[in-house]
Amino acid sequence: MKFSSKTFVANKKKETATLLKKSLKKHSIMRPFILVCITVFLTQSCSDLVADLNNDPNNQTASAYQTILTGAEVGNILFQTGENARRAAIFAGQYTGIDRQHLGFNQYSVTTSDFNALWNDGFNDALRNAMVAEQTAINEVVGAVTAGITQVLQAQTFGTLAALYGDVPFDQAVKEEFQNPMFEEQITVYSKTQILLDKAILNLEEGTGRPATGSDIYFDGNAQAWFENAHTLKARFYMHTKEYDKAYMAAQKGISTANNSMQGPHGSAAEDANLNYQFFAIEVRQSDLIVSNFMSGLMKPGSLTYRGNSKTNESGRNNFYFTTNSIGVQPNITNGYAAQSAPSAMITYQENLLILAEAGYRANGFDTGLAHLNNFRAYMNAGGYLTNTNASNILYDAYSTADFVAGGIENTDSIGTEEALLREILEERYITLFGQVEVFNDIRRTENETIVRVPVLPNVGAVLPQRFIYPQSEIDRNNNAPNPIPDLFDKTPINK
Amino acid sequence: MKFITKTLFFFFLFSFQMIQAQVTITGKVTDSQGTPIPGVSIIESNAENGATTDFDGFYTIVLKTATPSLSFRYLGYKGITILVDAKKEINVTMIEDSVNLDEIVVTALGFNKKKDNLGYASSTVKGGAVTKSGEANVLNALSGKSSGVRISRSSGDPGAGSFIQIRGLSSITRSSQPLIVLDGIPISNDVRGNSDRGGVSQQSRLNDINPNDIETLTVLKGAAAAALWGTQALGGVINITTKTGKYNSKLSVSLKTTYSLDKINVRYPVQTKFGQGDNGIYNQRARDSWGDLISDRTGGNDDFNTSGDFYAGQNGRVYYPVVNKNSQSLFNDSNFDQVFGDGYFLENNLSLSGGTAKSTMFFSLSDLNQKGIVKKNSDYRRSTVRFNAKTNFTEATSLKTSATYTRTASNRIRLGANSSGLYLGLLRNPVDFDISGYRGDYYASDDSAPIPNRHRSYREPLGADATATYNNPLWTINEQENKAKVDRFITNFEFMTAPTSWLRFIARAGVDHYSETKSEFITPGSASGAFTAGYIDQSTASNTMFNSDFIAKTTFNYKESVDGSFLVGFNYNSKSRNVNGVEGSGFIQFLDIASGIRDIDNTLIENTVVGSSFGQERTAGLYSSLSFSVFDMFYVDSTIRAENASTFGENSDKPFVFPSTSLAWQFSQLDIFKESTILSFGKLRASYAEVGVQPARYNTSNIFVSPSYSDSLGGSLNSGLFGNGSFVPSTNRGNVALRPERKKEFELGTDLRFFKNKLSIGFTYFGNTTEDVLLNFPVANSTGYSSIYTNGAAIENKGIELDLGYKIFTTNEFSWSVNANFTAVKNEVTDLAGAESLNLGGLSAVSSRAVEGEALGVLWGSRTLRNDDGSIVYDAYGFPEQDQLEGVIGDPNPDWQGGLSNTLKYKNFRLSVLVETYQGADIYAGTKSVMRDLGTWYDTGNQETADRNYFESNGNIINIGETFRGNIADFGAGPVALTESWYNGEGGFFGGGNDELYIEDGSWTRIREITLSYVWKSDWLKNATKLKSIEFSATGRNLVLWTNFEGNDPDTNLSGVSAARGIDYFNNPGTKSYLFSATFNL
Repeated sequence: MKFSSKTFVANKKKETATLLKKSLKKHSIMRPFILVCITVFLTQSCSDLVADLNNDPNNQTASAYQTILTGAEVGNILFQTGENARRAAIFAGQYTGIDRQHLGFNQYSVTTSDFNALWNDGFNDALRNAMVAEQTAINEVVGAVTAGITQVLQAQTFGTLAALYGDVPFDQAVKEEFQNPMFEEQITVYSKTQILLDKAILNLEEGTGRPATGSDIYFDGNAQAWFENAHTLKARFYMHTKEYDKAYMAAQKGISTANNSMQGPHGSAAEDANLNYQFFAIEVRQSDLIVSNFMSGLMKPGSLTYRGNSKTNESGRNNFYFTTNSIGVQPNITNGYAAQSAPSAMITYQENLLILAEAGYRANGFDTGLAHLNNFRAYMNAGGYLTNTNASNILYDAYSTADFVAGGIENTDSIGTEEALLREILEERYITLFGQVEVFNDIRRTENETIVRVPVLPNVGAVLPQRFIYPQSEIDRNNNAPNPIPDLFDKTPINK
Repeated sequence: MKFITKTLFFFFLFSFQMIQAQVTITGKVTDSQGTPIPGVSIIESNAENGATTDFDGFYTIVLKTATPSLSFRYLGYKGITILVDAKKEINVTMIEDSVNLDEIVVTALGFNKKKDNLGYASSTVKGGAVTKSGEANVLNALSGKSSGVRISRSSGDPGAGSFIQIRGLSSITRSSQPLIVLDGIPISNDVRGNSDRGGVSQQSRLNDINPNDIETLTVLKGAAAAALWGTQALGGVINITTKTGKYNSKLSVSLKTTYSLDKINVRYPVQTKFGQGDNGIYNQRARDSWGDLISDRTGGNDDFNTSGDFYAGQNGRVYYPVVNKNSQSLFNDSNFDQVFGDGYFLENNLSLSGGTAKSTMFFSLSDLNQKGIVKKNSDYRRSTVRFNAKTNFTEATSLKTSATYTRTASNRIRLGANSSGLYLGLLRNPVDFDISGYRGDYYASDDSAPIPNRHRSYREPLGADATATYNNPLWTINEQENKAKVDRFITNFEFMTAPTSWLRFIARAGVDHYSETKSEFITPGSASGAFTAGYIDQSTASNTMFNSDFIAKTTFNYKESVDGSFLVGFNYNSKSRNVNGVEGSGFIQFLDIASGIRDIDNTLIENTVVGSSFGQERTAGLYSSLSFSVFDMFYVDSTIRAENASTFGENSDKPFVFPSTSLAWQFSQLDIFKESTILSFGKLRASYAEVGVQPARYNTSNIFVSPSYSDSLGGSLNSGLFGNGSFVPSTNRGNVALRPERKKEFELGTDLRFFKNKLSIGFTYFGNTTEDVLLNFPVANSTGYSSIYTNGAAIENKGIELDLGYKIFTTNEFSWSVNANFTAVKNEVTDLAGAESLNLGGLSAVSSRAVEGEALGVLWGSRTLRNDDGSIVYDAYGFPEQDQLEGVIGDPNPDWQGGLSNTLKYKNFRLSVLVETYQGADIYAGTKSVMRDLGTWYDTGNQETADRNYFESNGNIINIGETFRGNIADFGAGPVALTESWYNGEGGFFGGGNDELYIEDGSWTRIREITLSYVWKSDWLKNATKLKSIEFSATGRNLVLWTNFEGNDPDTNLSGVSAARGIDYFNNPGTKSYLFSATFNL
């Protein structure tokens, strides 16, 4: 294009002239108003453009009750059989921590933040999911059995939390409207847990509304199994509160067969393996935590404190539980207790049998206790819950009264006959419930029964730990958290 | 009626004058480079007579007065008035008027405004200054040039991103980075995959812009300047305009070639006296260098055990276990030289521009090819092409477009806190261990089969185990690659039409799209657990941002005294990103980097993780702006923006409104100043505004996840593997009431110029408070959840900015000007919603945190135990005791920062020097802490002879006269001996080191850039080559550094491009450069 200075200048002049001319007109004040009108028009379209766009396409915002139920049950496995149980068993003298954090736990040197994760496991992974599962199942009108299952799961978590921490939130726990849930007294939590279990039992008795297949990973919705577990749980918590006659009654409706034991299923993938397997075999914590000399001494044939006798051969059970390596005695990670896909015990037939024995003895006397103990021994003599032993390593002949009389094989130190029976039952519980939270509960519950209790001694100092301490996370974030917080050695109310 | 009168008046005037004179003057107007300038106005003084130069710069004017003078005027050039004095031909060279150009500010919406009329502070950096800095990246080129702006680097790696911070940090979890607006359209400045403690230095996407394309870069520092961008403007706005052609100009071609030689800036000092081992005894597998005194060795070759296992390295050497260490050879320099060398870059840039009366165009091509100072797998290449054009269809309608395509390819080296990082392996390496022979075959005995491809490192000197513990640095640079390729398109259109004289419509639309393909590959054998069995990670991110604005603008006036403009606009912004990738570890068959094969199927299927995510968000905003001036003395700008965005919670009070208003008072317009010879210009300004930042997307609802519950201290249960799979509520809660964070800022300031504009001063005081700061607020677990994303915290910044300019000399031949800037910002987290502290990133030992009552980003770690009165508690031996509680140990924010530039011009020579300083910032010397612990730091090689008895930290006594390895220090309780036991304990990093002892002064002052250039133009050059000019320049970048910090350039950051700052922990080194460039102008 040929440039012409004439047109260029002409254009410039014209521009100037136009601007001069037009700007003199008196629209000035009206102009903004015209634009304001456009504004109003545009405002309308503004919010429509951005609506409904913030729904995360990568994540679901709702879930069916089945998958929540599964999540709750997996969370429950973690809470009941993971570090929570291991730490309880350290305090109960079954494990010895020899390095890193577990050395500290072994020395009873704990800080509030050591319990952050455990508290979280209980409230977030187990309890919250069970409650959401219940609510979702109600919304979806699934039916009574499903509701009952979710209630048993909640009660199981509440009871365990109350046993370990004492006062915990109950009514205000996991409710959106309570950002600072009130803590309730331990005994109240227990009684409300019993009520919750009663509700669950009513639901389970209805027999309808089983969860869709595959979603209940413990019993696949078998209402009878859940019914029995609810009763064993009731019995367990009555044991905690020392209401032995109620415990005995509840246990009679409790788990009636090994098949109905509540156990966490495990597999061979990296992240569904037995948690003790993952802890000892994969996370190489064998150098941090070993089985205590006290525990292995009871079980190891030939040791000074071996609990076997002419009617009892524990070598099969010892092989199921333990192996020995260069560091010390370890849980059996190959084919026993802590094998990769070994089911992890939460509420078992064997526990129910032993509740019957102890509560039966305490409620109805020696004969009832002995009869039930012999039922347990008969079960064990047939292999019991052991999965890797041959019959030649097992012997659990029935005890007779004579065995408990002074000088008998179960009373070589000549205490009272009845006491000898109770002592054997308590020791049997200590062995049978190895590695579970329940042994810590037993140790604390029976601490004052000096003759019959399992004689666990403190690792340091003169007293045994009495509880888990409240976590730093709860102290920081919940205005209603107890203040001052009880010490590790302060007994919870039920054990005072 | 008025118009007619006027016309008649002129008609008569012209007629009269035409009779008077008939002299004709001709001539040519050129610029300083000899290029003709078309369109220059030539006005005859005292006469209503004018002319304009034509396309070739020629003009003709017929004079109308008897003793005329002609004045020549053209925007951007200094006006010249010449007495005709009987001349017939007057040729004029016009000089560019830089002062006038500096005064133009590109506002938030991309309009030009005179800086003198603005009620808020801003800084403009010319494109030339960006390229002259010698930085390959736009951002780094801003360093030291503007008050209120802090550019912090992450490392000297090629292509590494930098963190920009304008007027202090304003957000905890959201970005405080400024919005980048390129030619009127926001573009992405993403940093993807930044790691707070390891990984590689990531890029900032702003680096995709070719600095040579930049015309001006305006930093809108304050909220008032940026408020029209609402929730995108929390961190301020950087407005970049790219070059255009000139109307009525011939094709102009410029070719620029730059070569840069890059060198390591600072080296960590190491001790060279003691060998590998502990307690004074050599041990060839020890972690530490607390071994024997090397000069005590017998010399000669080591004694080897050649009967057992051995290692055959890739370098052809065979290594046996050492029985007696006899050799006194030191390898620190040879090890270093095998890893580091000189880096370089070569940049070529070609640009073409020109224009006709109605349209302009600009085209450029560039290629930057950079190789880092790390010898392998550290490089950066950026190729760009740009086309900008503008066409005026009619007087009232125009279309402007700019389009650019960028391709970058980079490869980066791992750094920081990971045992596969570069410096970690090199600086921990004992001085008597030769790192050559990093890969080879291990033989358990003479007759055993080789185990191939074993990694040899100083802790695994024969490669006997599959894990090297720490990487051999040669392995790091040869067997690990981390590539990223980016393809990016940015296209903008602007359509303007003026249907009536008082109304203009402007429509803008722009798309910024990039895809980034990352590919990481690690040969099996690297030290980090995750990489030991081989690692491959490939992912592609596709990111799109669309932005459009519709603006209606009008001007108005009232009587003679009020002039103004008013606009309303509508803004629509949409962002989306899609990331797909696959990651695998555990190779089935051995593959190394050299194989070139990146087969994801070569990893165990159970170790393959596929990731895919998609996200989008939208913002719609309606805004209005009103500007007016009164008596040409008061200038008022008010803006308001109402905004709605998809990220706001349903229950929030949408839409959100962000107002701003600013006032400028040019008091120098008052009569009393008008005649002043001292004050040339004076303005007071004040402004108040609110801006914000949106919540992160997808946080308004509660989501369900398939969790993997982790067992404390143990393993984990993946709930997806049970039953039919599981979905449960996430423990982090969404929030339907999410609001944007809101920053409220006021600013007061003044701009003054004295002595005919020779001296200029700009001063600003600002204060801002960010409220509703978003955080993942921790909630009690008994509620069933862990945290809720919510608005809750508050942050405050107060600061001053000072800019000074002084033109010491200004003559045609020689000029010298000095510019200085100063910034001081005080930051405080005033409310953290009750949370004790929030971790922003860093190491697990020392992290950068938000703590109520402290500056944002304070360093947090273990510290010295103090009494209530602040005095240190000492142990029985005179060493400080350590507090069991961690706490705040340092503040990485500087007390003040400043820049000082000198520009001298003499004829065609130009010399400029920029000095930058950064004062009063703490830095955690983590590298030093570890090196002291391991005994490789230079002062751990000291030997002292005790002139009295000293305690060691373990209670041992060193008796008078004894010579020991270590140092004597006094912590305040009398002198003590710092020996291996101290450095292995609280005086080091591992073994419960007291982190507070390694908080050091990270202040620095440096000659950021020094440039000497010469423009060669001559008739000979023009005749012989047709080149208008050639410009040669030499630049030194970062050549001189003054700092007390040892080992690395303190302008470094472990956490990369992040608000977490102030930690040096095996960061990759900074660089300095020598650049040479030649620009050929045709």
